[in-house]
Amino acid sequence: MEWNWQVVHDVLPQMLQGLVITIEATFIGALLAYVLGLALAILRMSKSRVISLSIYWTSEFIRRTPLLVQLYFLFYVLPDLGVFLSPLAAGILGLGLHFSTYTSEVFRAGIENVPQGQWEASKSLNYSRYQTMRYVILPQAIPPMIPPLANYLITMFKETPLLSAITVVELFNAANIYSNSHYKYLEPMTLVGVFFLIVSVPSAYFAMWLEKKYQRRSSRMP
Amino acid sequence: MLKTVRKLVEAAAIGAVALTAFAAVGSAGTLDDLRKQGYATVAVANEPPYSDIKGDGYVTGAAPDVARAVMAKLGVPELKASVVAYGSMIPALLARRVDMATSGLYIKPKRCESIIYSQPDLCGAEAFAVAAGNPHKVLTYEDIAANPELTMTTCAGCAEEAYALERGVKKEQIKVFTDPPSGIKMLQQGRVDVFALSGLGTADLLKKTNDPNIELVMPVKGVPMGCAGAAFNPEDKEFRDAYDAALAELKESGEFAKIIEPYGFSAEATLAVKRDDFCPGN
Repeated sequence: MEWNWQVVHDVLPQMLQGLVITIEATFIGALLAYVLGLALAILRMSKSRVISLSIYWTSEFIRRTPLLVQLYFLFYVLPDLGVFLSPLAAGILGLGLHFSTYTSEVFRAGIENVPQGQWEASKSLNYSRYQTMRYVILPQAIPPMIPPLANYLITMFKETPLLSAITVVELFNAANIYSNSHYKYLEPMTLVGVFFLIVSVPSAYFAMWLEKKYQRRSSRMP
Repeated sequence: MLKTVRKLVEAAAIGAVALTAFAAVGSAGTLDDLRKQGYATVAVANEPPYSDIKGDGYVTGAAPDVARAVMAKLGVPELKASVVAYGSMIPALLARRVDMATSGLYIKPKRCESIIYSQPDLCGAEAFAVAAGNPHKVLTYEDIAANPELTMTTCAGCAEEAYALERGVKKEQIKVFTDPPSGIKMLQQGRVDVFALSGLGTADLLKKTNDPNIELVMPVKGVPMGCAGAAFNPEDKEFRDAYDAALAELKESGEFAKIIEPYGFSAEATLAVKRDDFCPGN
């Protein structure tokens, strides 16, 4: 087993294209996960039991089934029902939907951590539910949520190779396709690992930095 | 605590060294080891009629059936299958994850650089599957190359992928599937325009899919007939030569034709070719 730089040279352009897809899928997927997650968290706290319970069971269902199965469903089953998604769109939707059920828990915990008195104060000021959320609760709830949300971003990044199962040519699949026709695994797979590290280690430190920053700020708060 | 960790690490290191040593011994006389063990592990791709794994794990299909008959002659009564994608078969052989690959792996010069083959055991034409009526009139790989709008699917690292690239099809036009039935599904859903695979493999899939909206184009003109053989690790030349001798007996006795013809393969076409026609000196 010998390291061959020629292989690195041959596979690198395809892998860089794959990396772009990986990052695209991660960020758009994360955006979706955040927006959907916030919506799920708010709906879950609805006063109507029908809404609250149906949201609860839907997110349980999504969270307790494997992402891979959901991706296959979105890609191979939905078209039979008339919904046709491109591989990347199906992948992003799958990632976003799956992780929204996790981020919704972060949002819910953040919102519930805002002291009860804040809700009561909003009520006494005659704020509507929207105003209460927008001007009182969320501004206090969001900062402590940022570090865990950043961690989910990193987790999602590491889950993107699953998209290769639905023919998305992201970083891992780009390397795998090369390996399959050139029978070289050492260099492409090492590079996949290196690329993931290059992105995820600095991001992890960034998430830790965020954590420290927001901890300090919240402890300074009266 | 630290001590236990260190002990564990030491044990792991010793284990790793022992394993490497064992692997080195294993390569000395593969066939003898297999006889002692009583079975051989074979790589198959699960592409009927070339290879087929039944619900209970029994491996059958034309290529494993030939291999089973040959190995029985060599004193190894049993085959155990390991499902390996075509593109990963050569690495699996080189890493000795399997003893041989019996799944219709075509004999191709590029592959012969890495592995050794038995004499050809299965030959067949190539095929496409396309939408009914063949709306884009795709009959050859050149037709796909001529229309950059078209997309096709096949398996990564397969002979069909190489045929396409050699004949001017762009990389962007090829979307590799994860397994052949998924490839057919992609064709049904209009994600690709052409599905390319071995003739008999495609015909078998279409028969099972039974979708009137898809039709078979066979044979694909302008590409050679694909001939497959059992594939071995290049260090197992002795094993391969013994396999060849037993395979020749099988071909002579007529038993060979009896095994492969029910699957739709032509024994005559296979007997007419030699390994040297594809890979001289392999």
